[in-house]
Amino acid sequence: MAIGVLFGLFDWRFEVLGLLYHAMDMEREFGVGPHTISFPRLEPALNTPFTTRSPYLVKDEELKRIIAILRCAVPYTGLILTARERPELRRELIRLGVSQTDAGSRIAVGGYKEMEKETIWDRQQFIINDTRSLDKFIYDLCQDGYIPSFCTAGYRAGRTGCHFMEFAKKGLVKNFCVPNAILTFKEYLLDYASPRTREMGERVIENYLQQVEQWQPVLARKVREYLARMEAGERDLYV
Amino acid sequence: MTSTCRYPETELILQEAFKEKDLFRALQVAAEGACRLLGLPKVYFARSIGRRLHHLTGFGQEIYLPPLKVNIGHGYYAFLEGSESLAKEKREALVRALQEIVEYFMKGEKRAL
Repeated sequence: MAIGVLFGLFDWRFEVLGLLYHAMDMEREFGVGPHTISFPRLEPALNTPFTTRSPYLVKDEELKRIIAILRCAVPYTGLILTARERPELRRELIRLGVSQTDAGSRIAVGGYKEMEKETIWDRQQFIINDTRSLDKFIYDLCQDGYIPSFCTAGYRAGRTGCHFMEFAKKGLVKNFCVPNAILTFKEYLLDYASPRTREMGERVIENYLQQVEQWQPVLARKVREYLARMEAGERDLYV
Repeated sequence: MTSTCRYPETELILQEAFKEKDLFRALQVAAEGACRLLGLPKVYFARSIGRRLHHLTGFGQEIYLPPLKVNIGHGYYAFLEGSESLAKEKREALVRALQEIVEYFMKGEKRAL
């Protein structure tokens, strides 16, 4: 289950404690904590003056604290950052422990048909502050040394619920996540990336592959084999 | 061509699984049997819910290599880790046994999951 709070409606300290109690309760009741936690902030919205006047609006520094607290409290859970935040702030927040995000998002009705327009004022509910294209966002992530992952292997390999928790809680899930990040990112680079993102991405893939070689050499060989098969035209390979 | 050979190990897995009262327990027993009797490092099962496969039960030690994913019928899937170490005929016999277990509990009077 994914949980989250729209911050800005009430005191963020109360909201964070509520989230964490919810996570603890899920673990106690079901043995499985939240799959992801998201923490969008209230953004100015058309015909909604409250969105700029709320006494509980969360400042940038407070948002950083929220993310740091969540990262420490539920290390196994994905933390989702939205494109509501500005690019320079997103860069800082990702470093604090964010694991999932969107990019190239358009929230206006019919917005994806008019991609060249970053904002369509009369057709969207609130404002997206990071309007970078997916390619630009991925390039920037790679520049900071991160590997973007498009992996959904967990659901396809039956690694859910308690089974997922046994890997995630011990940090062993990296043995699946890093190889699958490499493989899915490779597919993105082959099929969708601009030449400069592909060049940068290939370097990132090699760096991460060397890490896998150090901790799981047999797995690293399998990933290299899969990469060669993808170069030859195969797709959708995962571990 | 698919072999229809039966092996003492897979027969034993079937016998033990059929003693159980529901499919969940039967699959648990089958996973343990496949690891102990056939030497697989890990076997686990999942059930499809829409396009996602939800983990049910399993046995063994993770080896962090791609498992063999097999549809064993009625929306159930088996994941066999390290199955390349098994002879093809034995692997097929195991898959048939797992399919029989699912069929038995889904079609029979015993309770499914």
